[in-house]
Amino acid sequence: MNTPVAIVDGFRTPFVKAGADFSFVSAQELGRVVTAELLARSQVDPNHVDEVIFGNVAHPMDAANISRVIALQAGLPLNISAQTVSRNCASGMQSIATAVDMIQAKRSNIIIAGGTESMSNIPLVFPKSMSLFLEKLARSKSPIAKLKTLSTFKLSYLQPIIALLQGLKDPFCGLSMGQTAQILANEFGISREQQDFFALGSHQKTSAAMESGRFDLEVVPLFASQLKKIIHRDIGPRANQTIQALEKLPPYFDRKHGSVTVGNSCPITDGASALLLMSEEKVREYNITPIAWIRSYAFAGLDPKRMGLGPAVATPLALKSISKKLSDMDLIEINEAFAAQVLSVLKVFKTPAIAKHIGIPSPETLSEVDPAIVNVNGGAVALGHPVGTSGNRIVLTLSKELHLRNKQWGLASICIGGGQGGAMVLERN
Amino acid sequence: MQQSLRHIDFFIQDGIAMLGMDMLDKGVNILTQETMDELALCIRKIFSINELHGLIIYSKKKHQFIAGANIEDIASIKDPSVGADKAREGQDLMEAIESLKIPVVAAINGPCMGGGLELALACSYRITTDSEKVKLQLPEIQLGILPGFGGTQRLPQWIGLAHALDLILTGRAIDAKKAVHLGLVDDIVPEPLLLETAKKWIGLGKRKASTYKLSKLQRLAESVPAVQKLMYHKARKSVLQKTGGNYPAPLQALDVIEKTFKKTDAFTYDYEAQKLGSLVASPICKSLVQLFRWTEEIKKTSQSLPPQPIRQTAVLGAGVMGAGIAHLFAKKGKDVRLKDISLEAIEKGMYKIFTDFNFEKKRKRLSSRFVSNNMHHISFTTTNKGFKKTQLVIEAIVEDMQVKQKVLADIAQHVSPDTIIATNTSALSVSEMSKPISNPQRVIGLHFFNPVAKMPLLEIIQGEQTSQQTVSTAFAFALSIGKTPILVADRPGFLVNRILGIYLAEAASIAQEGISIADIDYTMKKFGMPMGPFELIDEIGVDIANHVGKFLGESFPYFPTPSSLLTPLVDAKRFGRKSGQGFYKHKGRQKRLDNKLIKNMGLHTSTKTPDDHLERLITDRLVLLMGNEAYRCLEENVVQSERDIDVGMVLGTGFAPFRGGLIHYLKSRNLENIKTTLATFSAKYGKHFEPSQALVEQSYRS
Repeated sequence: MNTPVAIVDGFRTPFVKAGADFSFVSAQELGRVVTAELLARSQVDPNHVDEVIFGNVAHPMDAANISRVIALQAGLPLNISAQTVSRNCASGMQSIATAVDMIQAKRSNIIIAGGTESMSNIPLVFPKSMSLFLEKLARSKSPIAKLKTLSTFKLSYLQPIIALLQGLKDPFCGLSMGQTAQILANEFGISREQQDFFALGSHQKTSAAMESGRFDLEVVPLFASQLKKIIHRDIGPRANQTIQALEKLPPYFDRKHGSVTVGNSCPITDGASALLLMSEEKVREYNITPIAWIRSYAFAGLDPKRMGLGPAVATPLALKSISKKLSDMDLIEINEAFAAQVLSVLKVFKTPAIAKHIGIPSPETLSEVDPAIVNVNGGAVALGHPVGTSGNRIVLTLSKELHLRNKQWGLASICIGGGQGGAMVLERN
Repeated sequence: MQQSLRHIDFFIQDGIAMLGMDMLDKGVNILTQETMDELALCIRKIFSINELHGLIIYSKKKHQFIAGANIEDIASIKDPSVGADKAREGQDLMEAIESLKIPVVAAINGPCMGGGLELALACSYRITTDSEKVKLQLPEIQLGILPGFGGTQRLPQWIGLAHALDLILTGRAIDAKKAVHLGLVDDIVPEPLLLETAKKWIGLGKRKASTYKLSKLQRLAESVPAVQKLMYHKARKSVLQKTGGNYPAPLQALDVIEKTFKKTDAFTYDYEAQKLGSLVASPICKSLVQLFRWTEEIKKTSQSLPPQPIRQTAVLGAGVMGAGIAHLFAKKGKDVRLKDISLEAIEKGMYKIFTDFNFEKKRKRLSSRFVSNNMHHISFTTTNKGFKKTQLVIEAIVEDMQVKQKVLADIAQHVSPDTIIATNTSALSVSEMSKPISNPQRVIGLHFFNPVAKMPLLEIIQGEQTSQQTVSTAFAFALSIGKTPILVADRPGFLVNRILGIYLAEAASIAQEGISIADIDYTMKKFGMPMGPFELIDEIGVDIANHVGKFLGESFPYFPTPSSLLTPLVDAKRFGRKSGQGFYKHKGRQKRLDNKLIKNMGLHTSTKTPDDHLERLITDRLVLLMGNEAYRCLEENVVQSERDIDVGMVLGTGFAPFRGGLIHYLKSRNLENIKTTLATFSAKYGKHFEPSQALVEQSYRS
């Protein structure tokens, strides 16, 4: 069995729904703030950090290899290398997985692994017709040729493509993420009411975590210079959310027969999260008490149309590799892309027949889970889902919660657009 | 010949004479008698060699070209004719370079200042490296002299009258880009290609000075006498406005240019030399040079123990001073962790820092990367977390001993045992403050002045327990953030605020005796202070001036306090500039005395300027009192030298630099007479005038 990797500490920025207070804050700035705070708070000499890995989906145009930009801006020495990883919605978990591999292979000892996403800053792009037109114009040399080209211009060339929406659409099956969730709701018989109550619970648990100060353990305030403001609380969760308000929303992805609404889906959000990971050897050397250990992880693929079931296919693999069962888990995080999707996963967990039917590997590791141990601090339906960040955020929240409750085992799992799932198992001691 | 050159590497390569300046045993190249003699020798040699294509003058020192004339020479000349002769010698050397038949290229790789720039002006071409270290400057005015090696003649020939007047009369430095824009530099070159490129410029042949960058219209305009007259008039006005007529050098430089511009006879250079001679022998030049040398001396003071490097810093308190300090640290590349008790306070501080950086960005036309890269050095928190790696923490919180003790003792638990713990207190005892702190030998006072970014002085306060190691490190740290440090003892008010305190208190007394505030402020500005005492009280804040005044009054029984004058203003919430009104009414940068208030306070107002007798009385009461207090500080070992007092007062309060500093000014008058005046004042106005022991002793010696 592979050696465990220590989570020494971790932080995230507040999660702020897109278009709000982080509109002018770039993904690299979000990543920089959490990285700088990790460095400031830990006793690790920045010179001893071996690598910086961030997950990111939208790759800002002004920050190629965003991890390198983050590392340098956070003040890490120039000789420390950095890479950016991408596994769509699990990019922030992939950075941890890559770090685990590198540490287990003894290539590295200390790695900062994070995720960052500014969905507010995903650009609008010109259509191809516009770029062809501009090319043609540049090639036209004489004034007459230029005029001729100009005369071919059509207003439709200026119609922007919203890159954000393109990103949320599966290019293979042609469905938007919301549509895949609607498929699960239909197939697994998840009612509108169940979804709305799940969403309500998410808002209530998240708001409670904000009020109680639980999130202060993981949130780093950030100064947004454009707004002259320090943002230190998540913006999105609603403490006063009512079921009536949720019930009023029209179905969004299938307006006629659907049940998935914007209220029981995760909002588009900005935020970053990062963990400081360390080999067992260095933990001893620095005499550090980690908040948790990473024991195993797994990624697996499935039909893009049912991408929301991702956690159900990846979880058994991660459990089986360390001979554990779902029933051993004390706390579980399942990223809430859609209420329907989480509820479908929980249904697969508790129903061996379905698991077998849809071809889940090693279904014997699965069993019904107590809803009271799932997403105890709420989740993405309230908090939002910055795609490159969430995979990291659930591991962060889970590790701190294990530490806080002094529980032994935790599972973090996430569905991935494009038809994949990711799962990671943590152990406290 | 090679053997006789000690400061120059001179050789001929591919038909090009290479003259590499490399001053022996010095980090910089300067024009001393020796280096000038060697340069002259090389130029003579070049005259005698046939078939040379050109000459390249460069520096063999990294990022150093020629920093100018020898400051020691300037200090030592007491006779105007000696000064004029010295100038003629320099003029002859530049003339020799200019009259070579081959093209000469100055290949500039660092500061090119004073005589160094005058040498470059005598060349056909000037090219520089793209290093940020490159700057071009004729700073002579700042030392009370003028460019005397032909600078007043050749600079207008290359860049035109308007730009030349600007550079010579302000003495300001410009970077290579600006110099290219003006026609002062021909090319900016990547550093490794400098000499290679210089050779290419030689290929263009010899060139005479011309204002090639000016437009035809500009050139035409500058050749019209009426336009020239207008320019001189405007330049004179601006000089008088800035100097109050207290500095003759810029006026003399202007006079030289006015009388010689576009004239070609031999008289022009001679006139420059004569004027330099008279300026360099003047007491004002001596005052300015002394201050300059003293400031340099402080910067070069070597410490008894090797200082520890400081990179990780923390600032407690995000108010005006805290934010100012954090801004400075970040700008100088230090990592800063800013702490305050509320996020609201930090928010204000962060915004102040952000606007400060933005202001600099706009002024220097820098990219927005400048702002973000600097801001990235700052993190903030309301907790005690994240201070483990801090090497120096400084508090800038409320001036209250108990609060400061508590906050510092608290942070001491969260930093490492050898982290330097500093206080930015402006008056409180560092020794007292260090009592509850573990390892008090690491506690020190670092007193920054407001505004932090602008004021060059830092008082370093050594408490009873402060170790030599801590002092060493603080001293080096001060230099690394661009401040000039003076070491002061842990006495109330330290140096600057104590002297300033008695000055302001006395000004208040004078006003209460019936002399108008307008007269007092006018007189002190005329003396050379950057502002009058009541303007200063408004700037500092009436409440703060009152608080410090009371504190000093409690600490030194002989001290007058301004509180009977200031307390009513504080009670009326007239805090000075920050609240919009104090003694003055403030509107933006504008202010005018509030005569209604002054009358209501039972004080006098006046409409005409004070007569000589009154001026003399005000000046003597205020300045001699400060001087007496300065001597008392020496007596009590608050500072170790007159040097530190003079540098401290000039850099900390803007005390008239042309007077050379407080002690220098007193000494330039007769100490014996001053003692008598003080004794008279003491009988009349109070014990604080009683001549101090140190002053009495000095008066015997002089």
